[in-house]
Amino acid sequence: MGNYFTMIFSRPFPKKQIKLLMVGLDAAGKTTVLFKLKLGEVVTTIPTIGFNVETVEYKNISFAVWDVGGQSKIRGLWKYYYQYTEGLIFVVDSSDHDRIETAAEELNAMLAEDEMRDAVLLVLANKQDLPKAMPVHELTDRLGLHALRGRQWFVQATCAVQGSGLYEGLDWLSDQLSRR
Amino acid sequence: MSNRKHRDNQEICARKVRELAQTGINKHCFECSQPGVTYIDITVGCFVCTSCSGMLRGLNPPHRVKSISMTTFSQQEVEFLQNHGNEVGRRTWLCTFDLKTDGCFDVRDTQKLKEFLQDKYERKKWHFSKSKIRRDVNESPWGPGVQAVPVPHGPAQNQPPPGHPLNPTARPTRMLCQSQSQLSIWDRGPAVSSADSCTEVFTARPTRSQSFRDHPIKDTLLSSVERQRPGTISSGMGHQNHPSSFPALPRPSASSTFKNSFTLGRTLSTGGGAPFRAFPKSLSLDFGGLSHAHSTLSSAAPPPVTQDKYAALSQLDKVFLDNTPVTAITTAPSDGPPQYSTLFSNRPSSSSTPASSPGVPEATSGSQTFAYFPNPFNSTASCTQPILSPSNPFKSTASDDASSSAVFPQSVSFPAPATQSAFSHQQSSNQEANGFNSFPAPESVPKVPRPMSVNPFTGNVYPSRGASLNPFI
Repeated sequence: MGNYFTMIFSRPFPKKQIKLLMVGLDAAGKTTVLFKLKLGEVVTTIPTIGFNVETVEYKNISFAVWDVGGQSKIRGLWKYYYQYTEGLIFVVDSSDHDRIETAAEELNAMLAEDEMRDAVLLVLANKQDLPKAMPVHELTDRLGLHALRGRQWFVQATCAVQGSGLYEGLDWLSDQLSRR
Repeated sequence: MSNRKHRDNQEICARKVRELAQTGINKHCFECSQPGVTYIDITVGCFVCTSCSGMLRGLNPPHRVKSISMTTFSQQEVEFLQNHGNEVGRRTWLCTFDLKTDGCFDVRDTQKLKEFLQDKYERKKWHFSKSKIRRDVNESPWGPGVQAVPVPHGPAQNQPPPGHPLNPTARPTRMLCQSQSQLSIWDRGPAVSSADSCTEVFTARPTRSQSFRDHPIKDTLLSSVERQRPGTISSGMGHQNHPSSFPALPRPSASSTFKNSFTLGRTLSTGGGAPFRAFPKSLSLDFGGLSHAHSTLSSAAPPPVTQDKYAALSQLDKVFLDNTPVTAITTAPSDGPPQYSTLFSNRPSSSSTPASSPGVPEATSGSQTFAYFPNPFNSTASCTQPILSPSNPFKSTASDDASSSAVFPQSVSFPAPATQSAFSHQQSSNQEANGFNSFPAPESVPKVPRPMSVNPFTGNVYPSRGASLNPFI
């Protein structure tokens, strides 16, 4: 019912803009995801130093997606992007078994931040096309998501180069955020 | 406290990595030879530039790249890098790589560079493991006499000298490579040892022929052979080595040199088969008229790499010695008799292995060299000149990210503007509608098949055999 009224009333009004922060370890595919969403194309990316930001409109919601570089020395800069973040997209390279623990540490450290307490969490289990890619349930376990309390989270299997799963993730996000 | 120690360790490691990135060949990108490396391909332990790092991430399986300045390194990684680096990487991944045949392309062309990387890492086209096969095959075409010459084989020998821009500096275009190699020869002073310069002279021109490869080994062969008979060349080489002689090649003194010493002309001409590529076919000499044995040769016949070619060679030798001034300028089959090329390829000086596809009859120019000498070289000069001038292609970073992409049909419900269907030419295997169905994760397969040298010809001696139309190799 609430959804119904939201739909009715949101139409005439300006689009809602939602800030999404997209982070993850380096080479997880964040920039590829971003430009796949924005352009519908696969671009050859270089490792991001700094950030990319694009607005993506989906289901009458304008998402401002901030894609921040994930190399180890610049992960300390993530915190400067936390403010006003309503949704956190955490991109994980599913085929990278060695660094999944590192990813889990980074994720948990981030979720412990006060500024992120209200953010919903979307985990993109990216690179599902690669051999040895972890399935979603394994990734969920290894990221320790079941231990999260008081947080809306969702794990979506994706393959950014094929575009699979990305909009399902956005579906979930828009669904969660439009409820607020 | 331990945290601080940890940080100190990281700092030490980072410093070591930075030092490594500033030493020797590591200063240039392993893939495109652009100076200034910013990333490390930690998968293979090589130093690369930013744009190449992006491409390496897109390989299948993706290579892991780490920024030199933006990431931390562990002690193991530092040791790994110390044991690897670009030089080792070159020996490993470009072991059988030949600049003349494999490597010349414009590094600005990201698509080409991508294909190069795929060949290099996914197909392991020039990997060290392929080199043994290559050597085995390699020696067979050489005559027993030549084979007897001790040739030190080694991975390092296939590599260009450190200063030599294996890829990038020389890679922009095939022609640029050739001209550069020529220049390097011609620019050398007479102080260069005759054997050395001889080999270079003979290898340089033939580089024009596309199938010429393997030059370092052949160089060695050639040099050792030439050392055995120094008289044949030393006289003429003085002229050849003169720095100014190259730009003004057709000048009379040079040609007179050739006229005077036939032996030189002979060796040069065989080596210089390639320069005569541009020679009008109608002027090229018919060897049928020269060597009695080979009067009719079907141009379409594949090159018989058999022993009888050596017999033919001896005959040809005789012919050359007897008929120094060759007058017969008849029309030769435009495709060129394959056997002639193989004939010439057996000559010590013919490291060229005139394989340039349909232009081969020029190999015959050996005998007619003198009458028509200026012409061919004019043509070569004219075609090399513009090549020397291209603007430096290495400064351009291949930053056209958006250029390589596939069409991803836009989802109906997603109203974002998408420039679709403009790039429909590639990665079709990756294409998939942005379907909103459940994502079929496990069923997906690696996008790029990795045929581990399905083609027996890739990566061994004659890597281009499969690809080129040249029937002469």
